[in-house]
Amino acid sequence: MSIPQLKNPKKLSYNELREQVSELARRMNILTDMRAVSISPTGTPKFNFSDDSATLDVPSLEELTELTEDCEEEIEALKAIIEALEADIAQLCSERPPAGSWSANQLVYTTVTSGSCGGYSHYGQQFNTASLATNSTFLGSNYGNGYAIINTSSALTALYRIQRSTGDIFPPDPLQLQPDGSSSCMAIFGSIQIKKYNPVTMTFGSSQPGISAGATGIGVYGVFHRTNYNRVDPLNGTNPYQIAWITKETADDVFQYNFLADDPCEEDEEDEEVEEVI
Amino acid sequence: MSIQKIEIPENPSYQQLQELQYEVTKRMNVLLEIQINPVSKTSFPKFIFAGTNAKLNMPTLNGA
Repeated sequence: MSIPQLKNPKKLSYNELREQVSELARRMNILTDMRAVSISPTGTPKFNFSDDSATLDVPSLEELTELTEDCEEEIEALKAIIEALEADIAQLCSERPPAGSWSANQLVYTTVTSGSCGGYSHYGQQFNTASLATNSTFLGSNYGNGYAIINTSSALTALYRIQRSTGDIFPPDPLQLQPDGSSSCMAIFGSIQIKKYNPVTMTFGSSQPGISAGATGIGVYGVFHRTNYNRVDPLNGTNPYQIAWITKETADDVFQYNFLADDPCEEDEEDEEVEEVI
Repeated sequence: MSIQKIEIPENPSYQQLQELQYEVTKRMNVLLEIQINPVSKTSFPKFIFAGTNAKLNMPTLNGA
C-alpha cells in the first residue's frame, strides 16, 4: 500500500514544523534505502513507496533473453523445415520443361539411332523410332531433367521427357533411372502425353505421338504427365494430369510452350513480400 | 556505499531542526539528479544512494 501524501500547509506552528521536517526526514530515509527488484519480463515497471520501504520493480531482461533464445531455436528449426521444402520445390521445378518458344529448326536432336541410352534415361511413349543420343541438348539445365521436341523418322515431332542419370540433381524416384541399353529404358516409365484441344467442345482428343509438321499440326495441345508411380495431380488426384500447353500457330514448326497458371516455380510478388517478412 | 540514515530526534531543538531540514534538502537535491546506469542484462537492478550522487543500475540489452 502506498504511503499517503504529506500535507503541506503554508503556515505551520513550531511544533507542526518539527513534525513536518521529521516526517520528511523519515521518508527520505526510506527513499535512500530503496531497493530495485527484478520481476517477470512481462511485468510492468513500478515504483512502490510504503510506510516502511520503497522498491522499484524492474522487468528481468535475463528471463526475457532466455525466452528470446527459446524462440530463436524454434525459428531456426522452422527455417530448416522451410529450407528443406524450398529444396524440394527447387528440385521439382528443375524437372519441368522450360517455358518459351521452341523452334524445331533450333533444336536439339541430331540423329535417330537405336540402342544405348548413353548417359541418359528417357521414358515416354515410344511412338516411333526416336531415341536419344548422349550429346542431346537439354532444353534447360545440363543436369537433371529436361524436355525436348524431337524430329522422328516419320516426320512427326514428339515430346519426350529425358533425364540425365549423372549430375547434381537426381530424379525423385531412383527407380526411374535404368542402366544403359535396358529395355526398361524404352517402355515402362512414366510418360508425357500430347492431346489436341478442341476449343469448340472444350475437350481433349486422344493421346497422339506428337505434333504434325507443317500446317497439319496447327492447333493447341495439352501436355499431360502420366506416371507409373504414386504421383498424381496435387489438385484433383488424377493421373495423367495436365502440366502445360503447346500452341502451334502457323505452318512453321514453332511451338509456343506455356505452363498452366499458378506455376509454383515462378516466384511472384506476394512470395517476395513473405520472404521479406521472414 | 550507501549513505547513512538521518537520525531523527524525538523533540528536535531549533538547531537540530535546521540540521534536519538542511540534510533532507541536500538529499532531495541528490535524488533529483539520479542517474540511470546501464548494466548487463544478466545483472540485477540496484539502487545506490551515496552522499553526493544517486544512481540506479538498470539491466539493458546492450549494457556493459
